[in-house]
Amino acid sequence: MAKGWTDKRPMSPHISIWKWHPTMLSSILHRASGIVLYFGLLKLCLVLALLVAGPKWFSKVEPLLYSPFGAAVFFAFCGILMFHLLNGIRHLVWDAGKGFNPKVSNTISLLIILLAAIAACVLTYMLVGSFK
Amino acid sequence: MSDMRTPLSKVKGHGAAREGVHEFIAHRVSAIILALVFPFFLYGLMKALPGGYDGLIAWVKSGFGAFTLLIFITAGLYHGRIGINEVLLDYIPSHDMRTFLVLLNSLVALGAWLAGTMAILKIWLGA
Repeated sequence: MAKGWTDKRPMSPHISIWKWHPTMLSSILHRASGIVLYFGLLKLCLVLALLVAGPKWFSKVEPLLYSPFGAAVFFAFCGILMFHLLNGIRHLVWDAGKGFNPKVSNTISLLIILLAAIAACVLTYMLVGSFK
Repeated sequence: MSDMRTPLSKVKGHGAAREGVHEFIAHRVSAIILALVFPFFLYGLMKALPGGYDGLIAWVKSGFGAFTLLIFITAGLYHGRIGINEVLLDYIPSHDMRTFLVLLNSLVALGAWLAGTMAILKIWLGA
């Protein structure tokens, strides 16, 4: 629990009293991935601003973008984005009141994480391959 | 319907704001927009990235690429701002810090959106 929580109501979501299971993990990851993607969007806007500033400015970040580190960042963002997308679609299905069976939900949670990892691998492989 | 509110609650005046649903719906609508535009964003990015500076400029200069990016960063930052706000409201214990961060979050999102859209429009329309 966070220190200094003065509200009489319990802090939500109740991380400390939940048993860990795949659907809970995917719910936590959805928030975490959302936060990371927000910073990804800020980075995208920064790159666009650098593009407009001209090749002289863009060339300062270009070596970093096209380095092994850049590929690793691309890989991470791909996986995180694919996860957030797939899990987000599932959240919309939940909002429609469907898909609440715990067993099915747990299976789909693992499937989403697996699919996101595979998609990230494939996309990074395709991108790095297209550089040659 | 009988009045369920206590006298104290009436004096304090903190009723439902009647506007919370707006953010809930806006969050989902922007999610649907993002899911629809995502394939075009990914395709454009994968095609543009190998070309370096020229490739990225060509992507933004094509009307379709500019349109894709405009929708993506607009819906994305809007969606992200609501999401981050939700996390801040859930986890930041101090009222002052929470208020400060929620304000900061809105300003950062607006600033990034302005910088992003202005860059896209400038490259696209070649001002």
